[in-house]
Amino acid sequence: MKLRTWLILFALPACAGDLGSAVEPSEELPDGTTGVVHMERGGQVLDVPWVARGGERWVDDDFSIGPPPRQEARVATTLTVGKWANDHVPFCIHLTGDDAESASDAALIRSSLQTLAAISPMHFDEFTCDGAAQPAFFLDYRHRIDDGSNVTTAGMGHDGNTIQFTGTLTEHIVTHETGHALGYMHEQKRPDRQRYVIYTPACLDDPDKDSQFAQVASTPAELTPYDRVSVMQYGSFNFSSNSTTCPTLTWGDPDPAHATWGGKFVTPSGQHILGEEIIGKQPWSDEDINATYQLYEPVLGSPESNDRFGTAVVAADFDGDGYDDLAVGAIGEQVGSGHGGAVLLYKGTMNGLVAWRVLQESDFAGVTTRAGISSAPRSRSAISTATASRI
Amino acid sequence: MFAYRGQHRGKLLAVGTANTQASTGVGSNETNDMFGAALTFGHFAGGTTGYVAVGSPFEQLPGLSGSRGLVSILRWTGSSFTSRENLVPASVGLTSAGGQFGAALATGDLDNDGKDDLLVGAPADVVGTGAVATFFGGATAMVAGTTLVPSDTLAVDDRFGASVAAASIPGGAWGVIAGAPGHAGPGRAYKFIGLGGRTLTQAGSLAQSQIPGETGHTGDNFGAKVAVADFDGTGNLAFFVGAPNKPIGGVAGAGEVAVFASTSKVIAPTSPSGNDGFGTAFAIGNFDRGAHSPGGNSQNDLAIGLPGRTLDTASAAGKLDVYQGTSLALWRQIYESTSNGPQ
Repeated sequence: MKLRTWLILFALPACAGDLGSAVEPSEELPDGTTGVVHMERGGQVLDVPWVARGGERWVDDDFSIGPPPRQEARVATTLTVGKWANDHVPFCIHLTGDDAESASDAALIRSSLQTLAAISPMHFDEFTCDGAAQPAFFLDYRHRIDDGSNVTTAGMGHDGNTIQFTGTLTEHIVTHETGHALGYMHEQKRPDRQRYVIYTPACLDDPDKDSQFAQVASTPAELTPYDRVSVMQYGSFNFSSNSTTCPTLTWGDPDPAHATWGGKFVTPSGQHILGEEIIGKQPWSDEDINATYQLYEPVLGSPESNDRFGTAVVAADFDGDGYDDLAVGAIGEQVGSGHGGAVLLYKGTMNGLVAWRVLQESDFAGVTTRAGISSAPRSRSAISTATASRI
Repeated sequence: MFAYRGQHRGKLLAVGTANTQASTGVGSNETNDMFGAALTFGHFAGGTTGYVAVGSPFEQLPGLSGSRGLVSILRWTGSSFTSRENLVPASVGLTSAGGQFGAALATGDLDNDGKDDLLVGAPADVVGTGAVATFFGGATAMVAGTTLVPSDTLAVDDRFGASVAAASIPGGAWGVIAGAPGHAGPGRAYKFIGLGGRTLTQAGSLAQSQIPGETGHTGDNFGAKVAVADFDGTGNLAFFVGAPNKPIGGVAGAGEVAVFASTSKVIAPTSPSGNDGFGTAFAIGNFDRGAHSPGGNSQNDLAIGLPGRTLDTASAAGKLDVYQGTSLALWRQIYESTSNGPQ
């Protein structure tokens, strides 16, 4: 069965500011109460409906509450409000419900975040929920008490972000929802989505879910090309009224002569839907990684006397994502107590090179970086590369 | 020598251990052999098996005087790098003591036989006159070729072979460039053409004075670094020559990179600090267009190192300038600390 997932509810935090009526949690707000909040996005003020649940007003949308984004098409909030400081994301896991299930879900959350940390600049730092050491901004992973969808509240940079899961948890769900918290919107909301997907609102199980598909109006500089295998790309039957015949999304193709173009789906009402099925549920893709490094470009080092950063450079696609990357030798870089040198890597992306990671001798077991600039630095004077090859 | 294995999804794994002459079976580790001073990679036996060529330009060869140099062909065996063979200067007729054979290396399938070939620079050969030798790929061993004959008579301290590079164009023709950074004062670079055979033919020389408004100065070190590529994708090779010690606007050692293409020009650093060494190293790649994605700019880009650049009070901290596309517009200036991310 198709998971009914990834509904992104952004709760309205108190910092809504001048963007309309600030919505505060209230015990006096009966569940089911509805209303409209004004939110700004890309210079446009939108009326976004909310529904009260548990005393809070929830917005069923993918928009942040904050100023419009400066440069990120995929990011939900801005540089100042939106990004996690120092690429660090404090998080805690609320365990509720069945203990065994909670423990296995918590383990999955931790392993999924470890996987994400290994391929991104992000650091995920766990702390104990509700403890004294609670930081100002953090992610709170918890089970949903009711039977609704997976949700991520707000973007990042707001206090008390929660990611609430329901049903069977998977690594895809953890990373998709965490993607929202890092600033990613759904791929199908991109301004250029018409060239890639076909959206059929008539297949929605609930007209309100249109918000999960609504294209962003603004067209700021994009971080990636349209990424069909993004972790943020919906499958064909998210929020579908019929998970065999009525896809909300299908692969579009600008060339009508394409052999697989159409005719696969006919709705119960006889409507023909063009395009092939989208499987969705992808892991964090190459382009998702490239977007993370652009949003959270790491600081690789600091310029010190006689680092001699730039002594050797070599370009090649080290990670096989199609973009050439760059290795830069800094032969006098201090590593530990010695000036053994280092190689700084820069990653090719749709917008060019961004800082990526550092290679040093200590990556190899049993290697001691020698102290003293006279002896060691030449060890990094040559870098070579093997591309599309195996050694 | 250290190796990393590139993987999908942004990972690089350190491969094996640190490789030395002793660990790879090249020989014994001696002070100042400079194993790893130059590296290149090639399919020297054809097929998909990759080899790493490692230069040890100061190697003292058994029974011979001076730092003659050595190039080792290493193969990854699944658990370690092991030497297939050592190439010595005498095999291509280079017999001077202290030739620094292996100071520069380049790879290309010059004879189009499916097996990569190797170009080896020996810039100190014959008291710094310098030499460049060819070795052709073979199933079990490299086949010694010849030494290249540039279009000028070389002199002492020209250091021909301080740098070498090769690139091909569709159809299988090869362009080779080798620098002689001490020639006639400012330095010079020499071009060669291969048309699929094992003979590389003189194709003239490159000098700063060939670019309108440019003059060379003694000590510019024009030719200390070279590159060649079909940069604009038109099937025409562009040649890049670094002059890392050239003064710019009265600033000593600022450095420049000369580009010889359909429109030749020089690229110089912005606001040089002195002794920037712009052009000490550079690399060509397409940093903003994925081979399998439609975004970005389809043209090649150029990254140039300025290892001597001073930043604030940090002398020789170093810097990287990245130039975009065929217009070579300055695109991004990178220091070690550069980041657009949140801090």
